[in-house]
Amino acid sequence: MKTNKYDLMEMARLGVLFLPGDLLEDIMPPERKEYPLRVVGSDSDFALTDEIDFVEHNFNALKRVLLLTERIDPDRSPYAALWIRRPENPALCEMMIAGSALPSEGVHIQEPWPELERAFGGLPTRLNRERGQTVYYPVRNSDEEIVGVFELTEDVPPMFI
Amino acid sequence: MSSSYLIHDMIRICPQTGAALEVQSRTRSLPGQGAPLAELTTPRNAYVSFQVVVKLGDAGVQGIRIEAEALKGEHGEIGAGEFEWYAQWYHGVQGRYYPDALVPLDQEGDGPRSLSRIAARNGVENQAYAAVWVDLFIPSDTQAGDYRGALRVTANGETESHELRLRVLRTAVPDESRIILDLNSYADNISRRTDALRDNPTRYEDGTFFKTERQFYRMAHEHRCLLHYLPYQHSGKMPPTFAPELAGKGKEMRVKDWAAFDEHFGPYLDGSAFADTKRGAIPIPYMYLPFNFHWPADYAKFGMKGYRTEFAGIMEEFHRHFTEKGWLGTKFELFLNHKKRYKLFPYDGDETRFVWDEKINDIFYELSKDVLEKEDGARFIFRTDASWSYGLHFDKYANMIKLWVVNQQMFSWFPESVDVLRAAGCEIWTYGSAERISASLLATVFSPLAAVARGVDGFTYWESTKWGERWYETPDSEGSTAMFYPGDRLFGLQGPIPSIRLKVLRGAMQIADCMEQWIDAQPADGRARMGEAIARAFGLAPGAWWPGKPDFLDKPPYEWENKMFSEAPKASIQQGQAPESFNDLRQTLWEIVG
Repeated sequence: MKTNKYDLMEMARLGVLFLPGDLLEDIMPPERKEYPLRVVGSDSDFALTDEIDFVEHNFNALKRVLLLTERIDPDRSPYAALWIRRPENPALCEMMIAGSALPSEGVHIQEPWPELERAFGGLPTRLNRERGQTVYYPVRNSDEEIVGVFELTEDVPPMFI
Repeated sequence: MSSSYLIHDMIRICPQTGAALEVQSRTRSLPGQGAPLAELTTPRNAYVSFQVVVKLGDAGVQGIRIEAEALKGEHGEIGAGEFEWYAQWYHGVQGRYYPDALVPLDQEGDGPRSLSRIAARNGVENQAYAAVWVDLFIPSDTQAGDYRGALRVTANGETESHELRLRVLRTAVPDESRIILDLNSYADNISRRTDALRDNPTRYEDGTFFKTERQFYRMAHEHRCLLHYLPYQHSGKMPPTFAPELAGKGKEMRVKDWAAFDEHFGPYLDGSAFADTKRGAIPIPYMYLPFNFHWPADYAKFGMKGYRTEFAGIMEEFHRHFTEKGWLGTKFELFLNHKKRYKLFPYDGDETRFVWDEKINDIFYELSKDVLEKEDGARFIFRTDASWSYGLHFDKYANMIKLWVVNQQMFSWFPESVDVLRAAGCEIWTYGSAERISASLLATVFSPLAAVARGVDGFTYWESTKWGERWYETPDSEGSTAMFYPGDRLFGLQGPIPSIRLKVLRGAMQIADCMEQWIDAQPADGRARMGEAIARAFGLAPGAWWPGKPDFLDKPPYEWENKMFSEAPKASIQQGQAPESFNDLRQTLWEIVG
């Protein structure tokens, strides 16, 4: 069967069509959503990430969409992830679920960079890197609020862990 | 006046002052450190180690030469070729110079690994002493008895002769270790952390990776360790050759080609990779399987029947292939290392903290049980690494999980778990980190002896190849994540060089293996007697290996906080003890086993 060529941004748009933003809002159980507050005063990354827990149904449903979106164009092999703003501190962001690999920026809570910030503002955004590229696409919930950003990256070494 | 000294293997010497770096040492002056060497006692089929320290004169390290002659006894001799020599390499740690890396010494001429070249490269400020680590192997066919010989040290234009007196026991250290000393690491850190491999994009096809990696396995083997190399990343991905290439999906999924996988692992599994080592061609006792949350089954199918089809089908194919290859001396571990902190999967397969994640044990046992429960052919086992939930799980999962690798501290809270797991036919290892370079060498002997005293089967250092980019100055985490160093950048060796801590660990393993061998012959009270000998040597109170339970065990583990652990009970032997107490233990043991 002949397959189409897809631009990375088009792949992201298709993936987001099938992504229920409500599941991303509730990817952690209510008592864990603001998990950094549980270890206030600790400077241990390990102690902080020990506090992470997920709602498995929501996580698995989103993970499936990420993995399948990566495969839309069989000639490309990008990797996908979803970012959120931290509920206890919206000036910071965090990658909350990854597809087949981790973004090169890592898994820790961090300040968003301009391209990611722009996507949180509602605008699909492309980041051309020294090698490879990333596209960011806003993710909305059923109330049409932006609750996250979908990332699709190609030809950039992922974080190794 | 003497300018060279033979000293024992449980202390390190400051290259500037000549004082022992182990501040708990009974004597910190160099002449005093030679006392335990008056007569070395050793079992057969074992290494005995000591050090030669040379006080430098005006010529510095230039012209130092060390030679040994064969040791002669009434019934034969131990050839001079059984000596191995290593220059001690000094690292900057906590404002001092500590030796740790050991560079195989090229004694002939002015080669790249002569003592003077190595010292020049090391560049220790105001160096006044140089040290050489010496391994002497006692072959298994050596007759028990007394042996004598001389070791000559030429320095500052003069030659000093030191008498070596060796008492060889009838006891022999077994080739196969009774305790597993597991040096864990993660593929493919050797490539990522070795210049020649990192810069070679065809390393998995042109044979260079296999050749280099094999040197790490061989060095581990020769030091009574197992290099245990987890093949997959947290994402489930693997470097080439760490799993066979697959073809098809669902019911059509098959192994496409075993050739590269077999070339990679076959020599470890039939033992041929270890031919001509002192321990011989023994297959590795354990190996991780590549199976994980996202291989071979597609995680996009998790929870659907196709996930089972792919996972169970390929595991069956693995078992058939391994059995046909005759790889029957190794236990193959299904181990799920995924951690939710990396947000690739919603479950902790490793170190379950949230009790609801325990369903992973049930799900993957069910997917694998047709192979795990086979009584014939290659042996596949389910392994878990347990910490937070160990107290909740050891009884519940003893019939499914056969290898328990347990956090060293948390294991000590549950002495009752040993009988439960033993009754179910399980094996138990503890895990922790290697000791920091700045810690006393005595700390390194703790894990093998704790295994004997507690009656467990092994222990794991969670990381053994993370030496750090500038290890030759200061290793990452003060060496607690490395037991070897890469030999390529500085010394042109395509493989690892050992550490002093690895040598000390091997010495402790020889002791532990002799103890276990003796315990096998004294089933009634052997372990208790060995436990008492260890406790006496280190001044331990009765029951010190099981220090009691913390007061927070009534809470579920997801309510525990990391800071609670620092005040929770913990077994330890090294605080304030003289490193020579290990020499005392050796003497006691040799008197018992003969």
